[in-house]
Amino acid sequence: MEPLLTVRELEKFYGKNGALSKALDGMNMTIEAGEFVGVMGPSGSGKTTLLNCLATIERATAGSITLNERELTTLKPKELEIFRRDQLGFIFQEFNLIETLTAYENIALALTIQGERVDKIEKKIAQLANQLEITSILTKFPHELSGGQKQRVAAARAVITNPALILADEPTGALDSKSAQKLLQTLTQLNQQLAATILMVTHDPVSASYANRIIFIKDGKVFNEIHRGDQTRSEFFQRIIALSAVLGGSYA
Amino acid sequence: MLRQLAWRNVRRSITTYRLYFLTLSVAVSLFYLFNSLGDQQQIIDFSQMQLEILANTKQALGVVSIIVTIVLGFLVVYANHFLLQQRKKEFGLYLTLGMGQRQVLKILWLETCYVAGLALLVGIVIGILGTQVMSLITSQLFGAEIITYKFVFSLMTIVKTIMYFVLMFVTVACINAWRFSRYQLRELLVAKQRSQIQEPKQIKAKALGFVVSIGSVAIGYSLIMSADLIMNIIVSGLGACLVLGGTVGSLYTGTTVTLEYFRKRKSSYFHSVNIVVIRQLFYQFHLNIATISIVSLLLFATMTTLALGFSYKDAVEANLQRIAPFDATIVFQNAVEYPDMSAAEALLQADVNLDDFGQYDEINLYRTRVTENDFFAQYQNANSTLQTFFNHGATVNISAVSVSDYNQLMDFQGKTPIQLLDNHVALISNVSDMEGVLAELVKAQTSVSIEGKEYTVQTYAMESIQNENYGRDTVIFVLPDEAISGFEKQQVIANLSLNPATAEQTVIQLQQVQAEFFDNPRFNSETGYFTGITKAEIYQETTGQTTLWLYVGIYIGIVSLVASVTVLAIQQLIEVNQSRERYQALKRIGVTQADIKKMIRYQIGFYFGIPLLLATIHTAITIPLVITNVPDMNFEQLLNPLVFTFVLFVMIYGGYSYMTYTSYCQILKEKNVKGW
Ligand SMILES: Nc1ncnc2c1ncn2[C@@H]1O[C@H](COP(=O)(O)OP(=O)(O)OP(=O)(O)O)[C@@H](O)[C@H]1O
Ligand SMILES: [Mg+2]
Repeated sequence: MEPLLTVRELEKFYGKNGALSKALDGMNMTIEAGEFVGVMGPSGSGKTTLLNCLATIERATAGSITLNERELTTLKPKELEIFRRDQLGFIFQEFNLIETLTAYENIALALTIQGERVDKIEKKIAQLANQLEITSILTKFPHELSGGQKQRVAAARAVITNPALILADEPTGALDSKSAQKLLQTLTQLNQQLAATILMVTHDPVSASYANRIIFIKDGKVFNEIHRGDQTRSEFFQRIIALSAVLGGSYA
Repeated sequence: MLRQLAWRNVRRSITTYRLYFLTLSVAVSLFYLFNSLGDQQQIIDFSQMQLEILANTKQALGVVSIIVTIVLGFLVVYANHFLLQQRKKEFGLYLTLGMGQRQVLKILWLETCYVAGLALLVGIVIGILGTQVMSLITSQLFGAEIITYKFVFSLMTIVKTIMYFVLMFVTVACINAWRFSRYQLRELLVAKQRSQIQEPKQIKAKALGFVVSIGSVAIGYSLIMSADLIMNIIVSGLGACLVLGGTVGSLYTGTTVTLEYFRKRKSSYFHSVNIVVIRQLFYQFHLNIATISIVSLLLFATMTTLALGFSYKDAVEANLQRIAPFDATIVFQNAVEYPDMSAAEALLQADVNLDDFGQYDEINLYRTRVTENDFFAQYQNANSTLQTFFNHGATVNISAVSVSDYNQLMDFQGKTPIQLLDNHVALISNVSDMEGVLAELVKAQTSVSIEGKEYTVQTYAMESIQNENYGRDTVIFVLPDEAISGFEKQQVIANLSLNPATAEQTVIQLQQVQAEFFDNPRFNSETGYFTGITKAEIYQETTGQTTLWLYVGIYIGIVSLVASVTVLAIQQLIEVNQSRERYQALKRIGVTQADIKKMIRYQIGFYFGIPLLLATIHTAITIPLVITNVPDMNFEQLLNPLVFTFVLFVMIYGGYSYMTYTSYCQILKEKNVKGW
């Protein structure tokens, strides 16, 4: 079977001839459906750029991205929007919730823009909120929530549409370790129970250790990757630390 | 170095400066336009009287201009606050880079100078061009002719405009400096927290409040209507307060009620991006309820002023037909001493030959002992129209004319004479409010005792027996000739119909003669005195007065319109500056570009639209109310002013809201919302 996501020789250049900066410089990777993949790399290595290209909010300079057997780099802007709406879910470092909407409405928005019917929306949110233990905070506004709660709401919004791929850019970056842990458990839960495919960028080896596989990137290229296999989380964590040390660069 | 930086800043933030710049330019050009009114004597042939009125107009507009400048000053401070807010980070950055606060202030000051200077320049150019159009309109409104077509241009007005605005900008710059100096560096670097969103509380109470508010608007209007005329100030004042309070109240409670209404209708609330639009509007309305109320009120005032101003002028001028039906009137006032002398004979003694002027007709005015109070006694309490006459102390004696004099006058004007029966009286009046009362008196076949003899009211006519500038004839008796012979003769009125070929010169001649009536004692000592007024004078004076008020009205109207839309626009742009994340998020979760733009359109549309709607509704109720209550105003005159008002609103309101929309999108683009 074809992998869910295939990235081939992806390049993304910023700037003009003189001051050209190669954010992505021949990136290759594949991700199977149901995987939980972590992406690590030094600052400026192109992680966010990769995610933005996958998210189709940034156009690649060259190369190809195939998701569910569809070539993304040639989609027209209108098709991209539809694609993004139906196939992708996002969790970002800044929580990206709409301030004027309640948690419930924030989650519902992902469905309403797909044209989902009200009764279905209600059912889906009730079920998911129950799973993610956010039922009691659904009526609150983002500013009334803690960082961790916001991020779980954002996670709920990302998965409520059953996207083919969930993209997370340092989702734990702004969280304390306890909230981070809770969110990571939530992601794991989504991955295991709902078979969600997750691609998570992180600096933090602890966060990374929740993934099944880690891709290390450097200077816009894949540098190395490690699989968790049957290892426990703490064994995996040790390996990540070790490899990070080899790679050098800032992971703080 | 600083200068280059400032200039670059202005050019770079052109999107945000654009609206600000537009408003400034419009304000400057309006200021120039209305202050240049006096310069139009350069090309318009105003009469002496019109020149006096023009001087008054200039004075009035001068006072208004001071108010306008102050209002604009506030607006500029407000806009600057927004610009400063938006660029806090940038200034903070300058400071961290080691620039002194003084230097940063200097950049800010230079920027203000560039923008203000440019706006001043553009505004004055537009103003000068506008003046050329305005002179055409002025000549029309004043009923005066343009003598030469040349470019109207006045250095004085330019200097005045520059002076006022420079003064204003300096004040604003000082306020800016003061405010800036109070910012701490940390404050500059950290964006301000948005005020916090809450679910609406006390929904039941607000729903009740909404119903009560709508009710009070309805009661307010019915009070104003039942007050019959606008004269009854206490009742209509109370009504107006109820309408105002009710409107503000309904706006305040209405936002909550509307939100709840949509939330109940889940299938439309949870449809597409509706949640975002509804919530956003609710939030903004809630936050800015005071501004929106004031803007609505201003818009209402502008609409009614513009729509009714022209109609009122038309109405006043239509009324001229009735109060000045003759080319000229000369009244011989000393008929009591010289009861047998005709006006023409008396004038001859003063070396004035009426035949020189054209044709004329004389009518003798007698005095009865019946007072208006007595005659209208039965109406004093019942009819508020009459009440207002009596309130002004109408204990005057009613005059009388003979039916043959009257019919002769009608004949002179080519109108139908009346057939008066014996022992009957006809009533004439030139106060249109009186028509209903007179008709009733006729219908009831009322009888009246005049100098001890009973007469039955036979008929009435709305006619004038002379040109009258200020006075009006509430009622005059037309009596059989034989009845009148014993009465005391008061005045002899000569009404003139001028020879059309020489009319223009004759009017000038007449006006000279009339001026002498007052100035030259010769007339007074030998033959008693005369008064008189030509149609032309009444027309000029009246049109001059109404034009004055019309100009003041239009000036204030347009300025408040521009100020209102600018405030709305700025509020929207403040909003977009705080919501970069929001659009980034929407974009990321897959809201399409088209949907986002649609959202922005809805948001701006409603934000601009609701105050406009409120103002329109109230205007639509008020205009008929005024028209039915003010004499001589009618709906036909309303068409052109309405079209004018409509076009003006479409241009200014439409233009600004469209520009707000494009700026909004532009700022999102500049703020680097990914994928925009
Ligand atoms: N909009 C842009 N314009 C120009 N260069 C850019 C832009 N965005 C990113 N870059 C450059 O591309 C490179 C990769 O940036 P990217 O944000 O992907 O790094 P990152 O791996 O996410 O870093 P971090 O860990 O610090 O978030 C960097 O050198 C950055 O300077
Ligand atoms: Mg990054």
